[in-house]
Amino acid sequence: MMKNIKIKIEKLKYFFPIICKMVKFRIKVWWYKKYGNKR
Amino acid sequence: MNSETKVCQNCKKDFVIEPDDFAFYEKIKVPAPTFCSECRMMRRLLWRQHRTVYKRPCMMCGIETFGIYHPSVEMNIFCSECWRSDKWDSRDYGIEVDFLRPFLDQMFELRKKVPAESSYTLNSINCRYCIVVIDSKDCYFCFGSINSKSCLYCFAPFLSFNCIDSDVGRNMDSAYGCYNSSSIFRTQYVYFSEECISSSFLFNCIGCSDCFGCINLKSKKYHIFNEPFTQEEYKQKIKYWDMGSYAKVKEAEEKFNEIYYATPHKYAHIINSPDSVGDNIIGGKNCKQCFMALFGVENCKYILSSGLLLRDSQDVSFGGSNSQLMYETSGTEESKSIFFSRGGKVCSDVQYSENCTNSSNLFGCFQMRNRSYCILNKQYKKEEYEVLVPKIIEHMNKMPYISPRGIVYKYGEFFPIEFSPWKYNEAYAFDFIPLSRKEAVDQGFGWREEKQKGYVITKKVSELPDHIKDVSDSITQEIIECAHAESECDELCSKAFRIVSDELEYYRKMNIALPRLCPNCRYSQRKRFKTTPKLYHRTCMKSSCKNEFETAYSYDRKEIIYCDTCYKVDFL
Repeated sequence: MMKNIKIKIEKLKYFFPIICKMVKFRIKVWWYKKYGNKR
Repeated sequence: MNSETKVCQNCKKDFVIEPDDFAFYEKIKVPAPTFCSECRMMRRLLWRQHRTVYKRPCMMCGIETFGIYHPSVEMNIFCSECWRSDKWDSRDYGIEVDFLRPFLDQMFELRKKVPAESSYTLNSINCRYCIVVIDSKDCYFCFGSINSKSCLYCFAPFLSFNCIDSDVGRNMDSAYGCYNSSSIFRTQYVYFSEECISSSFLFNCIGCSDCFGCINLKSKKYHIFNEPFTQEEYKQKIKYWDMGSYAKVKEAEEKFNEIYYATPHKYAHIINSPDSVGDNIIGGKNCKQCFMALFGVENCKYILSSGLLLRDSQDVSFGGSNSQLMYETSGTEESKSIFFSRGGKVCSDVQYSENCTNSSNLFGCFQMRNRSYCILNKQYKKEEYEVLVPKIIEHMNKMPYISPRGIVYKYGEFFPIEFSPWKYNEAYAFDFIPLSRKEAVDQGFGWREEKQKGYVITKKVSELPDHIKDVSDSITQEIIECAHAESECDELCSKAFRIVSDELEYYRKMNIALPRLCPNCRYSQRKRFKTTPKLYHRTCMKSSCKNEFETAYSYDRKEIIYCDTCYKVDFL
C-alpha cells in the first residue's frame, strides 16, 4: 500500500508541469468555445 | 570490457554488443543476448496483440465475451469478471520442475492451463467492442483507451473526449482522423502536432489555431497551405475547403501531401532530451536507440513505446511507469528488476513470467496476484526458492529449448515466438514493421487467415453521397463495402463496415464527410507518416550542409530531411 502511494507521489511530482499544461489548454478550449478566437 | 561482434541467431546478421551493454548485463547478472536488437524487438512485438477482436466463451461462466485471443488458441480464457473474482487461485495450477525436460516447454504447457483474462477492462462503462479500456465511458471499438469518453474507432486515446479515428494522443477533444497529436480541439487530419485548435491537415505544428494544410508552423493563426492571411481573407478562403464534401477532402489531402513532401523535416523528433538517439523522445536523458520514449526515460537503450519515469533499462516495450532495471520486458509497469517477462504491475525480482501483479521473486509464473517465492505457479519457502532458481538457470543452459527453426533458447532469451498466441498480422509487430503475408510466413511468424464473413453488401462506396448533409438516417442500416474490398489489401481489411448512429450524429455536427474505408484501413492510412523503429545513417539534405545523423527516416522515403541546425535556421 505504502509502495503504491510512494509511486503515485513520485509520478505526480514529475507530471505536475505536464498536467498544468494540459489544464491550461483545457481553459484555452473553454475560452474558445465561449468567445471564439477573440482575445 | 571491449565491444564484441556476434551473429544473430534469428537473422544471421552481425551485431555489436557495446561495452556499456556488457556493464548493464553484468549489473543485472544476465548473459549477453544471442539475438540482435531488431530481432529482440520483433520477438517482443509478436507477444503483444494489436487490433483484432474475437468472440469466445468464458471457460468459467460460459458467457461469450470479446477478447484478444482467437478461438483456436489453446488457452483457458476467462471473462474480466471471472478472472478478477476470488473463485480461482493461480497456485492451484502449480507444477513441480521436471529436470528431464526443457524448462520453457514446461512453462508454456502451464500457460495453457492457467486462466488468462480475455481482455483488460477496468472501471469502464458502456464500452462496446473495446480492448484494454481503463476508466473510460461510452467508447466504441477502441483499443487501449485510458480515461476517455465517447471515443469511437480510436487507438490509444488518453484523457480524450468525443473523438473518432484519432490515435496515440492525449487531451484530444472533438478530433477526427488525427494521429500522434496531443492537446487538440476541433481538428481534423492533424498529425504529430500539439495544442492546435480549429484546424485541419496539419503536420508538426505547435500552438496553431485556424490553420489549414500547414507543416512545421509554431504559434500561427489564419494560415492556408503555409501562407498567411488576414482573418477576413481566411474566412473567405476556408469556405472553399468544405470538409463535409468527400471530393474536397480528397483534393485537400492531395495538396497537403504535395506540401508535405516539398517541405523539409527534422531528422528526429527529440525534445528536451540530452544525449539521446532515436525518434519521438520527450523529456528523456541518455536514451540510445529509443523510439517513442516519453516523459522521464533515463539511461535506457532499445526502448519502444515506453516511458513515464523508466530508468536504467534495456529492451523494454510498452512499459515503464516508474520502473527500473528492466530487461527484455513487454507491457510491465511500476516494477523493478523484471527480466524476460510480459505484462504485470508492481512486481520485483520476477523472471520468465506473465501478467503477475503485486508480486515478488517469481520464476516461470503466470497470472499470479500478491504472491512471492513461486516457481511454475507452485509456492516455495524463501530458502527453497533461492536454492532452486540457480539450479533451473543451470538446467536451462544445459538443456535449452530448441525451436523448430533450430534457434536455441538458453537462459537469457525472451519467450520464443512459437508460443505466442498471436500471429504476425494480429500482433503489434505488424503495426511497427509491416510485412506482407508471404514475408511473414517465410520468416516463421505465421499469419492468421481471415475467416470468410459473408457480409451482404447493401451499399457500394460509389453510391454514398458526396456531402454529409445529403446523407439520410437510413445509412446506419446499410452494410457499406470498404473501398479496398476488391483490391489485395494487407491491412486487416474487414471488406465492409457500418456507420453507427453516434458516429453519424458526430459527422453531421462536425461537418465531416462519410468515410469510404473500413476502420482498419482508415487506421493504416493515418499512420502513413509514422517512421519505423530503426535507425539509418543519413546526411542533411540541405545543399550547403554535410552534417550526418541517425534518423528513423529510411533511405527510400521521399521526405526532405534536415539536420537540427538547418531545421532551426529555416523554421524557428
